[in-house]
Amino acid sequence: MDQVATLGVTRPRARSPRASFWAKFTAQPATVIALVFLAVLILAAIAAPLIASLVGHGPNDLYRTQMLDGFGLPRGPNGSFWFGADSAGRDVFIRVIYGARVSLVVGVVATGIAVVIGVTLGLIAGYRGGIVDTLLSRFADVMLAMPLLLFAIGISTACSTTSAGCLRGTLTPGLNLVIVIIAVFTWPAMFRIVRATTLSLRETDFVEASRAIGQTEFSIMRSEVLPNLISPIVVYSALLVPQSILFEAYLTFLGLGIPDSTPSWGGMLDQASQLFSVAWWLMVFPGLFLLATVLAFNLIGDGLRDALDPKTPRRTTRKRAA
Amino acid sequence: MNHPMGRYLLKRLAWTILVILIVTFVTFVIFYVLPSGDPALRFAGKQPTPQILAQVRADLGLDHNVVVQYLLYLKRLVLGDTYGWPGLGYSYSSGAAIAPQLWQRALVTIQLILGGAILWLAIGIPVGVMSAVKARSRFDRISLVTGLVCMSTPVFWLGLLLLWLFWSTLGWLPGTGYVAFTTSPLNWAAHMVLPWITLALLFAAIYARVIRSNMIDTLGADYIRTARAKGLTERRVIGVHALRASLVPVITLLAIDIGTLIGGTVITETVFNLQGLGSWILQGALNQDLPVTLAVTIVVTVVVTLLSLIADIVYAYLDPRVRYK
Amino acid sequence: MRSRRSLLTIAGLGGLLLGGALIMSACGGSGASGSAGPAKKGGTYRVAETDFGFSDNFDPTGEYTAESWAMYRGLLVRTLLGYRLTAGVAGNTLVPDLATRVPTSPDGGKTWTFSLKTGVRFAPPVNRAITSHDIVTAFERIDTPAIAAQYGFYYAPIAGWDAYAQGKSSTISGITTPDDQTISFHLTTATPDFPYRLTLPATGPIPHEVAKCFPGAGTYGRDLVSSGPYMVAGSQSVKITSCAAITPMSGFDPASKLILVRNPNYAPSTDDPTIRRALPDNFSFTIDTNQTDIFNRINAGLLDDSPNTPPASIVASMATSATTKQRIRVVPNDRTRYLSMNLTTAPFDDIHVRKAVNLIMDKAGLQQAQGGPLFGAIATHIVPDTMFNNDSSITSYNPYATPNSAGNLAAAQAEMRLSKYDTAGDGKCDAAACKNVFAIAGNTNQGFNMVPVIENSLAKIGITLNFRELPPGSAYATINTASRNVPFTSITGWTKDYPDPSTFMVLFQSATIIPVGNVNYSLVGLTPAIASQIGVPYPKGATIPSIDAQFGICAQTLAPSTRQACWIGLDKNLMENIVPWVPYLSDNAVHVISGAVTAWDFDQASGGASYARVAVNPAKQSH
Repeated sequence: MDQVATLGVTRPRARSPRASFWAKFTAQPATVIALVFLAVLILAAIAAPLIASLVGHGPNDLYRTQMLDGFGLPRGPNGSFWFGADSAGRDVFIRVIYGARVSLVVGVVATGIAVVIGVTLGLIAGYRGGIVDTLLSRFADVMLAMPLLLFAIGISTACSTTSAGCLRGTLTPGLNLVIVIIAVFTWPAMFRIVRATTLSLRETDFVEASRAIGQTEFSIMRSEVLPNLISPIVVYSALLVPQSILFEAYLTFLGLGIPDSTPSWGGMLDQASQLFSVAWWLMVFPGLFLLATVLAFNLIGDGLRDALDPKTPRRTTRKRAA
Repeated sequence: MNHPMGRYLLKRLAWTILVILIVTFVTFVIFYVLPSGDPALRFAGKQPTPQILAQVRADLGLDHNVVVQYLLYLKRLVLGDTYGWPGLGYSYSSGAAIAPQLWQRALVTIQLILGGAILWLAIGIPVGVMSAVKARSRFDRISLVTGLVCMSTPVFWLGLLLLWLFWSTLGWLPGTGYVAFTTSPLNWAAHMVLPWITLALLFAAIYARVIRSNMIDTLGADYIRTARAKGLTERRVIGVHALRASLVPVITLLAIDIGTLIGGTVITETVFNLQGLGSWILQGALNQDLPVTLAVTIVVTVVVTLLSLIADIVYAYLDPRVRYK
Repeated sequence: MRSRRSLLTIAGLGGLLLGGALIMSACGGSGASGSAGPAKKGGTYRVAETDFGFSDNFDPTGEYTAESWAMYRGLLVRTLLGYRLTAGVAGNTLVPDLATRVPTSPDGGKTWTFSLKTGVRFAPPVNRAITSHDIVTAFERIDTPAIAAQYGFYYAPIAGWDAYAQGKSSTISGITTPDDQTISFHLTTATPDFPYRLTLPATGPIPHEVAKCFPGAGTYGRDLVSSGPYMVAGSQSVKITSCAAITPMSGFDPASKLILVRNPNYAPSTDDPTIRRALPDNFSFTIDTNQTDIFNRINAGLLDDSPNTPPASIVASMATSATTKQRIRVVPNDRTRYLSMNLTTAPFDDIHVRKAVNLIMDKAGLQQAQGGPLFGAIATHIVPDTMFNNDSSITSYNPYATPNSAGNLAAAQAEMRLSKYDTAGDGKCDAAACKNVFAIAGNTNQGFNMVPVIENSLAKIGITLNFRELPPGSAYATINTASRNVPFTSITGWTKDYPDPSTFMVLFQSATIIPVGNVNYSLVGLTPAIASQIGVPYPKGATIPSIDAQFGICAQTLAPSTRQACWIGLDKNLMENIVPWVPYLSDNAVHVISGAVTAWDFDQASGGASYARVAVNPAKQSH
């Protein structure tokens, strides 16, 4: 359980000028394509209601007489339903566009929360060391050992039995809950990176020097340690985003994530899992979008790593869904 | 015990037990707050009177508070119960003893993981080595991008896609389900090949990446340069010295991944309808079958910890940098 | 609420194009599948299901699912009275089984006396004649709280019932056995439908020498001693010399399989061979948690039948070919699916809102979400027509008829204008109470498909729902807990326990309202006293209607035709003056059988395959 990744960052690095970073970052054509794809996807997600009104189909509008057969099975792509219909008779194309909203929001927000928790605790553990470090590290280990599914099922069920949800209405099933679950299980990964890096930074001369001239711990952390962590944090966060997106799709696929009335790629694939033999479009389109989005974030993460810090490990210590 | 190794092992063992205690306790608490967490309702019938409910709760040992129930569970676990040792009890939903099912299902999961691991090593190692030796070549670039695509492919989507293609459309392979090797080796393989591929693709990509970067690092190391300077053939340098050094971290990785997968193949097992541990813990949690969930959780925690311990020890023995000191 | 679990696995299918040809005629009959040849003795009938779903680990005293009743009735447990084990109204008709005849009560329904047939013997390991005392044992088990019988309330009218349960008496005084072949029941109130209650499997004979070793709930099922034509494999190897010697029968593993073989002690002469044909030599019931997988294996000839409902995709593809089409069996199943509205919560505490919901609901959409017409006809009232023997005064009754059953906006808005929640008078529910109304749905495919249909319908009259889709177990646990007071539910369905409308109407009795395990989701008949007892706020200034008086009258009515008219009146009263539900589907049972099945029938009374009347041709089975 001690698979802490120790990083090669042992001394402060002169920061690259912005222009040089950008040149390195966009050196690979794949990174540029990924950026363009994501830009288009984000625009489409924002403009989803506009697209829906242009097409004339809302995400929860039912076209059961047009798009369901006598067996209640969906019909495939045609001129006005480009991606066909789902088993409730809704437009898959519109739902795929709306689904981008869930994936993007979950990817960014859940990762953001996990990074804030992971970085804060990682800094404290790495810098203070001793019993604080031990306690926090062990806590992170326990989190990684928790039965994730059970936790997800438990929370989402317990929060679904009243209209108020959990914690006086702050935690209702759906997006909020999925974000919380993902953040809770993701922060230990960031924590380990930050802790290990901080540990090695703590021993360096310039931190010793700052301590010698009487700077407070907080200001040392802020002015000396944190800036040197920026690169690994950025690179690592970029790699966590696609993982969080997959995590959401995985939870929703198992029926534990986003409710059906909110279009999400994982939810659409869950439906497809029952119907793929008769309705390939239910499986192919949401899956392709999910793959493309995750790939784009991964390419950008790789690009960032090449531009910022080639030594950052490519592997996370988080549980993978398989 | 004064031996440092002994002390280390003891410490790890104590930690494992602590993790199991914490994790199982949290599991207990989660079940306790669930709306249908009360298994007595299953047995108490359509319009249960409070008396019948109380009676059934007492029969099932549910009339204590959550802490006492937990302690009673631990007691049975350690001392054994009517079904033998360890005392894992019986499933609330099927009424069958947990232990025999646990081993049966573990066997399915192990077959899935080992088959998958062989496949991902068989792809990952050669691709990783080739990429490193020909770093920055066209092959390297293609394999990097392909790897990235594999790492970005949602596992359940890949599984569905394979089923759709090879089963629904082409009809080359049988559908979902598990056939025991002893029943029909051919049928067994036909049912396992898609799950193996589904599981292996992601890991093959990861391993190729790890091996590539290890190999590039090793090829620049001093002792490799020495080996080259001694006039050993390039094949020997790469095939024996560099590969060996690069594979050491892979062994660690493998141990940890296999450990994590013991309870983590939920998706593959669900998509392909394999009755292993992963699908069991999902069913257990969905049916609120506490004994099932606890049993799988305990097994997974033990296996993960053991394998990571083994990984650490193997690493210490095999790492050339450790030995050459 | 039998067969909850199988309720949840229903998938879709459409059927107009298949026509009525598939629907088995109301007079029943055995549908041989032609190509597999004539029905002959022999072979193994292989059934798989996603989960046994046993409610009491196969102990008949506590077993309350359609599938286990079908297994007991056809194969393992004979009762004083039974049914023809066939489809349609004929399958709902009482016939004697262990008793020599269906008795009449000399005193208007308070006393019932039965003579047992001679020569009926228990299967191994008991191997002795069945006597009236074995029936008493069954009743004593039902009346023992520790064994947790699931429908013991049906026998509460027996004199001395409570005294025995409370341990004040060592016998149930209302059951007497003048000799080994005679048993009498003495009831405290006239109960005209009591004979039906003696068809329920918990009342089948149980040998005391074995049952005494299983004093708790859910344990006797591992050593169930058969009185029917089959028995659990390995029965003969069980030693019953002492309780300690008894081991579980080897043919039953609750986690994976139940294997049945012929009972050597079964004498067809004591039974009606036109009812229990008992053709296969063995039955195997196995578990496969993947529903689609089961039906693929049935199509491949690796299995023969499943109590699970086939997915729409499978039936749709089978319906395209004449040879596969004849392997689909469809039978109306005496079950109503409904949306439940809570009479105590806004906006459903207003009858005009409840009527408007009935008028606006796209029932055709809900039918399609369940799989289309083949999976059931649109329901227009509470009790399925078949329970009233398709009486003409009820079959055409549809108080909320709308064009194509897809909802009628004008009529719904007109009704809504009468409601206090329509403050603007625009035919929309515009008070705050109409927004974000909490609702529970199941997270099955059908559950998911229903939610947008309901949401879209109700939005037209200004009601927005806040649906939570939960796993079925959790969904039921949530709505079963009265104090949670869930306003709206879409997961609900109900089926008969025996062919008398009372088993539906019992849902609306105030006595049915209990704190946990409540099934009167609408809280019909709630009184302030019950409300405070179960922790539900009683709506201010309102009176919740009650059917208790009318129920009492109907339940005491002896003459069948008057009784039926009484229940029909109650059904109409509920639909027009109380409106607790939106009934939307009268379920069909849909079975897909293998090409090896040479005879098949449906057990109408139990709601499952009639295992006593099936046959297979082993030569057509794959392995």
